[in-house]
Parts: sequence; C-alpha cells; structure tokens
Amino acid sequence: MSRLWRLAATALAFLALLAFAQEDDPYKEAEKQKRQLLEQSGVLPSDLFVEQGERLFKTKRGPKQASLEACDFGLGPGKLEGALTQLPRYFADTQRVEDLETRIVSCMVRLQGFRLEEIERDEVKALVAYVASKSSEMPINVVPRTSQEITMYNIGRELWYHRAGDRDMNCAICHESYAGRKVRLSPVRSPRQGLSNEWPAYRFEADKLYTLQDRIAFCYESIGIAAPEFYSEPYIALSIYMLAEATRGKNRFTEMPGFTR
Amino acid sequence: MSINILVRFTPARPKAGEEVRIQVVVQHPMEPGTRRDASGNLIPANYINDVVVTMDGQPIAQVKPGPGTSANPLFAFKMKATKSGQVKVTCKDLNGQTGERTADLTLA
Repeated sequence: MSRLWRLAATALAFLALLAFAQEDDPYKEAEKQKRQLLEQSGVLPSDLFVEQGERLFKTKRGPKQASLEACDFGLGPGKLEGALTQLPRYFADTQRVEDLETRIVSCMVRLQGFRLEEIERDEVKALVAYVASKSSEMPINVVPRTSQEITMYNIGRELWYHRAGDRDMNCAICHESYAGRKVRLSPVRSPRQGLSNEWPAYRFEADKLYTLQDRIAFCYESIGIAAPEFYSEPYIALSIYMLAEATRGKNRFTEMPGFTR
Repeated sequence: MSINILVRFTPARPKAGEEVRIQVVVQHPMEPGTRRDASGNLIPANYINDVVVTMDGQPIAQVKPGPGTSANPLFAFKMKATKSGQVKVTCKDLNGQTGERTADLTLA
C-alpha cells in the first residue's frame, strides 16, 4: 500500500513540476503578455515606436530640412523592405561597415545635417523599429563579402571569444556552453541557433524598446564590463558576427519589432 | 512635432448595432510635476489634460486626465456602432502641444 502512495506522490510531484516548468517558459509568458496587451488595448507598445519612427523618417527635419527617404540601407535609396536582413554591410559613401542603427545615425548626419552629439537615442530607436518592421519574419541574409566586412566579422569573432573583465568572461561561456539550455532562468541560444533574431524588440519586463546594440550593452553589463559607446565598432563587429552565424544556421527574424522578456 | 496618437477599433469591422471599443493610445511622458531629475530639481508638469473624440464632427467623448495618469496612456470607449464614419481624436497637453488622428470606422 505504502508503495502505491509513494508512486502516487511521485507522480503528483512530477505533474506539479511539469506545470511549474510550463509557467516558467519565458517564450510562452511573452506570448501570453502579448495576447493580453492586444486584448486590452488593441495596440502593442512597439506599434507606438514604429509609428513615431515612420513620422521621424518621413518628416523634413534638421538643418538641411530633409527627410530620411533618400537614405540607402543597401538596397537603394528609400528601399526598406528587407533592409534589416542584409545589415550590417559595407557602405561606400561612409567607407565603413554599418549596422542599422549606425546607418540611421550617419544618414541623419549626412542627409539632415544633424551634429552627431545632438542626435537623440530615443529617436534613433524609434527609427530602428520602423525600418525593422519592414523585415518582419524574413530570413536573415548576412554574408560578409567585401574585405571590410570580413575584417569586421573577424573582429566580432575575436570579441566573442575574448575573455575579459573581473569575471574573466566572454560571450561563448553562456551562449555556446549553455546554448539550448538555461543560464539561471533565461534560455540562451548560440548565434547558429538564431540568437539576435528578435531585436529590436519591446521588452515587457523593462517596458522599453531594446535594439540589438542595447541588448549587447546589457550583456556587457551582466558580465561586469563597461559597455562601449553606442554606434562604436564593437557593436557592429559583434552584430555582423552573430547575424552571419545566424544566416549559416538558416534563421529568420521574428515578427518585427519583436516582443520579448 | 505633434503628439503621436494611435486609434484601433475592436472588433475592427463591427456589425451594425454591435458594440465597438474605440481604443486610443497617446504617446506622451505624462510628467506629473512631482518628480525630480538627477540633480534634485523638480521636473515641470507636462501631461495631457484634454482628449476629445468626435465622429463626423459630433462629440462622442471627452476626457480630462490629471497628473496621476500613466505615461503613454490608453483610453478606451465603448459605443454602439450604428453607422460608418470618421472618428477623430484630438488632444492637448500643458505645454500647449496638440495631436490629432483620424480613423475610419466601417461597418461589416
């Protein structure tokens, strides 16, 4: 009899654990939060940023009173469909490899005449959300071809494996040794598994829009290394490395902007 | 730039006589005037204090939010859908900035 009880208790404990594990899945939780927001307001918070970005994109602004419609993201001036899928890439006009955020900033400087230091981060984030929204659920297609892109990719791989800081950490310690598993409560993925395919995204925990650079800065912070200045090379190098690896793994972007924890 | 407003209808295309929810989200920091910045100075109040919803020029609803309303507030109104028409939302904040958005309500 006692054996039967023990069996029943074990089964119950197992079921409880199963239920707990299910509630614990951040992806399911994100789905739930998204559904609840849509039911309640019909609007996702990221829609606001996309809308704001569209207005910033199409309005004539800055000292030169120009819109960003002439900005070339690699597919031709003003072509936004799928623009995110092939960034970062080398641009001949600025003679450097740029990701989406850096490209928007350099367009604001060159076309609209803003000074670099007067560009507001919030505006750039809204613009990133708008341009990214045109690449929703498209396959990632970052293949370093020019020598500059290959150099940047190699710098990115160096940074990925370079152990540094007080905790002697690198990206690979979490994102490769634990790929497909969890670090604390967070599931982690490797670049091949499509890491970085959901950014820019609205993070419901922080109630903020995070771009890929914001996310990388957050990783730097969590391993105890001061994050570099936004729009600087480490971000572009890490982005091109991760997205090129994601391309090899045949990954797609999620719905853009993403919705995540 | 003017205040950014989003308008959605739930259901998106209601049947005649059905209840429809007009959902309005306004992008605004809604500073209550009691918060302090990093150096301890009061941040001056700046919140939306007037939201007006009209349909084909006829007023449907007016809201006068106070300093306790959250940032990027959501306002939702229930209405019986009797005819198609143009819904217009206008709002105004303490700094005198205004926003306007129109959306077409069409019956199924």
